[in-house]
Amino acid sequence: MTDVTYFDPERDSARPVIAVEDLVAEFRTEAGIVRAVDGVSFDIAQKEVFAVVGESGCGKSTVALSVLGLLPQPAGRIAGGKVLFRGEDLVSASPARLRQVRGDRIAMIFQDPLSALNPTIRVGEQIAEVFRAHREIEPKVAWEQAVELLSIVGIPRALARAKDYPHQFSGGMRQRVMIAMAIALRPALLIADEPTTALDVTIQAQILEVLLDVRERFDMAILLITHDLGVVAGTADRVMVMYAGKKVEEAPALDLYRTPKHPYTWGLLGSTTRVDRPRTGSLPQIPGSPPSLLVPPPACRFAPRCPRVQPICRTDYPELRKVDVGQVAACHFAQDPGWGPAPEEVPA
Amino acid sequence: MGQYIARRALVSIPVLLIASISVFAIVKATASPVAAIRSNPRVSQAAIEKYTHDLGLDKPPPEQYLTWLGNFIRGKWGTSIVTGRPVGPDIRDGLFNTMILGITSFLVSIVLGVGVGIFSAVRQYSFFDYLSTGSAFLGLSIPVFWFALILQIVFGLYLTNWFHLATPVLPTAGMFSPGATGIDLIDRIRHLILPVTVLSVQIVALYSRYTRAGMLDVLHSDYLRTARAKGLNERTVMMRHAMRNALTPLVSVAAIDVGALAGGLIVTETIFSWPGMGVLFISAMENGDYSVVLTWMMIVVAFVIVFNLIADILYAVLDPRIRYD
Amino acid sequence: MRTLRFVAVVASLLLVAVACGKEGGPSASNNAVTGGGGQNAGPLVLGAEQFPECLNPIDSCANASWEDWAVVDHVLEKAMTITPQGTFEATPLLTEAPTLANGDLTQNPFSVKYKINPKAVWDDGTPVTSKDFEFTWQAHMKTKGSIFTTGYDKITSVDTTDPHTAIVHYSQIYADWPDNFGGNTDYVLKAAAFPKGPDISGQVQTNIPFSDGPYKLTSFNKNELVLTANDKWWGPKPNFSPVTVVPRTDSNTEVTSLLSGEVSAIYPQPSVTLAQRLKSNPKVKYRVGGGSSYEGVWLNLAKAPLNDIKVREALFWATDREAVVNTIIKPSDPDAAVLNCAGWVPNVGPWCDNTQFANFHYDPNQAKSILTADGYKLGSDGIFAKNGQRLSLTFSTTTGNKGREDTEALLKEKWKAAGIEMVVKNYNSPSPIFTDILPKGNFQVAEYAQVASPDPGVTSIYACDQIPSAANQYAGQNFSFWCNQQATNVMKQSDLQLDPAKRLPLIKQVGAFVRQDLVWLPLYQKPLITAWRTDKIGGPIGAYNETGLGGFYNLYAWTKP
Repeated sequence: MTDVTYFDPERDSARPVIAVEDLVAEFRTEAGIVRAVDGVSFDIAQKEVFAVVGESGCGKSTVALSVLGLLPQPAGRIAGGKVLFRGEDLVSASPARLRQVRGDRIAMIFQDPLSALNPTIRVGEQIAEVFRAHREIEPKVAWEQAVELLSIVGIPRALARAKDYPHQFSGGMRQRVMIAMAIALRPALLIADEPTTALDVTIQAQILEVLLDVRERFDMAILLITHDLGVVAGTADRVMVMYAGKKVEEAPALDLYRTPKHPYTWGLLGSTTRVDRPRTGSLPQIPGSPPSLLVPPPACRFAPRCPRVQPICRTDYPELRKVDVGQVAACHFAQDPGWGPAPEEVPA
Repeated sequence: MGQYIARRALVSIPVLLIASISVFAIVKATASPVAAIRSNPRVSQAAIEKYTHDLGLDKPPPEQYLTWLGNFIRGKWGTSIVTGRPVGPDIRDGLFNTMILGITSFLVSIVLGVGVGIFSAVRQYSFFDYLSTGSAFLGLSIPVFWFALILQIVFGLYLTNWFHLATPVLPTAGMFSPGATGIDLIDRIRHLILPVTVLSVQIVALYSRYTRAGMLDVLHSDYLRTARAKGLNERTVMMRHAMRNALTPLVSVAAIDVGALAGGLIVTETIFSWPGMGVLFISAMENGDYSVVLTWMMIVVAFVIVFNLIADILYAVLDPRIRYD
Repeated sequence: MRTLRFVAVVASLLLVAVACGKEGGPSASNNAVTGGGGQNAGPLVLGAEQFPECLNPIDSCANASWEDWAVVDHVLEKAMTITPQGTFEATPLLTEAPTLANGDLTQNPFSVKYKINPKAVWDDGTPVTSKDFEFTWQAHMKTKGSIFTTGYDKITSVDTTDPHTAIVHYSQIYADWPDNFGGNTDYVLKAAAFPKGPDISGQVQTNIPFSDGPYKLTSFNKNELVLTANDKWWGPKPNFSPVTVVPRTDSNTEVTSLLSGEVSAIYPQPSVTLAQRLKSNPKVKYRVGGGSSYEGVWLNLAKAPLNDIKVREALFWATDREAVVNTIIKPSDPDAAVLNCAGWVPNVGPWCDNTQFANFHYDPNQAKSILTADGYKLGSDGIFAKNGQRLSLTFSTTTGNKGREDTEALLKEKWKAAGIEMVVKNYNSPSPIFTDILPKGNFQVAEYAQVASPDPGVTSIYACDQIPSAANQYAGQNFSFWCNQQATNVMKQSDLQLDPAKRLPLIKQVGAFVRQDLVWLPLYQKPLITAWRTDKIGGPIGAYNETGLGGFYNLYAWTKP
């Protein structure tokens, strides 16, 4: 696709846990075929927290679901690309192999833990189920493991609470249950799809804490999907920004905050709540709304909303350009010296 | 839960009383046990008066009602004021016959309805899905009596003539062959086929729609995605996570329906000469026979109340979010 | 439907064969009422349109005709019965019928001597005796809820000195005596079967454990009833046994079951599509004929304007009876004709003078000229009026009866053409129309049916003292409110005349009065149908089709095809 190298030997000592190459995912709708993810590539190293950010509808959740082959059926399908898990392509893997990987090597947690947990099964049982699906194990042992996991993720009185049903837990506790379920088999990669969105701010921080804690404990990589750069700030090692199904920028987290190169990233940063700062006034919004993916803009997809739009933006598609070590941006002007947001475009 | 059941049982007593009083009033207002006799020219005015007096029909209606109620509570269901038949055994037999027909149809319908519903939900927008949802719509729209007539004519007459058979392919009415002695299971089943088909077409249509909707809800639910993300095999996902939650609403609907069965299947029973609760009610109602109608009604309402309670309990058992405290 | 039967006297038996029955299908069977002779034709299945719910032959159970037709007629013997021609005759229970000629009827004081056949036995072998007659009388009077007390209440004693002779003493002449211990609805009961005495209420409701008829009832439940040949019966042995009667209360199912061969005979209510369906199977034959129930347009003579005989005459000319018969009756009975007797039917006894109303045919101009001569003037709305009163008449019948509602619609147009307006006002049956509307005279014109019984007496519907009034607690059944003292006198005279030859001219005279005063206008006899499978049964099926005893009465005489 481009001359950009994603694998940085200076940074990554080992092979990436997962490498997504040129992923294309489509949905069949009544209006036509929607290409929700259009040629996205990235990789995640061992123990790395890799965040994907963007507005809702940008395709970030589709990326997450694509990794595990969980796109809603029969509407969704992976139309191209590869998902290499330790070198093995999961897109072309058999359903049986995919099932082996799911929950065991790659686990996933979701946005709304209440609806993501089965309301009629005890939480301990829902966790124990993971062991039984992948290991030859006595039900009693599986249950004990489940209880232990619950205490690992910080649920008090885990022994008793394992017997409770999801509706008997608070929102934060439910997400802890989801995490416990996800880490049961020490997966190499944990996909967290908007794990804190449904929770209130103080709980958000706790959950992120738990995630980082289990990463340390079990040496997991995390694919963190969020629309909130504030969540990314203290958590992610690297960040990928998506817009309208395309990757528009990727950078180490600090670089992204310091030297964002894509005008969309500037907009996102401008509309972010910062957990580390008190909230002042109302947040500025990016004017306009994301384009329809049925008929996306012909060239740069952000052009209709871009504050710095130029004629070329409407005629030529901007390839990803390398701007720094580990940082790429899909903007015609990304490599221009001094290219960056004006002070009023990003709050200090 | 125990408290809940006790409370519900207590509440149902006034329900039963109010129901029986209104039914008594309706029977009294719409029919009279004397009307048919009055129109018989061989019955003299004197005989009508004697009859009315002998049966206590000349007493004030509240007294008639209270007399009946007192006897009912003490378990003395007595005999029909019009036919002189003992009420208890007639209701027992009617209930038994209705249940044979109703429960059979019900089981057939549950199996077919749930099967069709699940299959068409899993294969949403497939040919089978369109076929089954279309058929369900048709099944719900067909008038029972018309469908019954068509079945009788096809299986009783046309096919029989077509194959030059001496006896009908399927019997068109009755619970067993006339004059049969003992219980011949094959014969009983042959007599069940047409009425069960008539009833089942409706219930299958209803339950398959119900199951399909419930199943679609669950198939699109987040927790099913979670189950798949955990790497459970498809069988476990469907049986353990999808079906149980999809069928919970159906189970309680079905429990209520079984209770309502006690009231009989008036049209089907009449057309197929099936001596069940529906037929019993119709003839008692026409006779103005409040002794039968009231007892019948108490049994039916009791059934409905009990099965509603069972539905509630089942719901609570199947869905831990529901608690009756 | 209002079914009124007339109460009066028939003294002896007159066999007047009036061929009223017609048969559909390939061939006709004769009317012979001979026995079968026990050819052992095997089992038989009959369909009952209204399955009996209980069996007590005295209490309200006995109000259901199907109780008699399906069970009791075959199990218990009557003393006197009705012939296919609608007259009375002795059953095998008697050695001969009581008549004035043989001295078994005495006029003053009135008594009836039944000579019991010495061969007559119950199914346990014990003889039928005069004690059984006495018990039957007592049971009718003393059973709680007994509905048939008419006649029995005039009996003073039953002489049982000779077990084979029962002499029944009445306090006064009771014309309709053959309807006691027999006739349409009654039977002789077995005294020994009721050890608790003559109040038989609550007994024999679900079983009749004794028999002196051709069959015994061996099973009775809501699914079916089974009749088995009574080998102790002294009459001609029945051929078919066991006979199973099954309910077929849905009229479509009833016909389907016959066409499919599941039942071998039915006695259904006529309907427009019935004949057509029956003809669809060449193995099915049916007999249709006018029954003893006759339909008419009845008037309230007490109220203006129908108290004016000229208005009644005009109304009769305006009523197209031919069209009614063509539309309502001919589809099921193609040979049906307009009825013209003034209170009888041609096939029940010799009493009907079927010319009495024959001159009335539809002629709106005739109606108009009669009204004009009577001082009526045709209004601009096409309706006659006199002294500012428009000639608008309410027409009432029973709600939900399609044939009658169709008749209303048809006659409404015909009346209008003659300048008479019809306002339809229908009521539920039997209550309130027969319990309130008619007895209270709250109607002008009504259509309903009466039933002609073998006894020709019409006193109860025509006599002055039968006009409903406070004096008779509104139980009188002269709903025409017609009082002609001369006619009433003739009726009373006729009721006391036991010699049929002398009675006939009196009855004709009553008819002439009815015709002269234009009391009501007869329409038609309601057709009755017996249908059966020719591949299963033969013999005199349907011989009793047109009688009150029903199409199955001579079941014992049916044979193999």
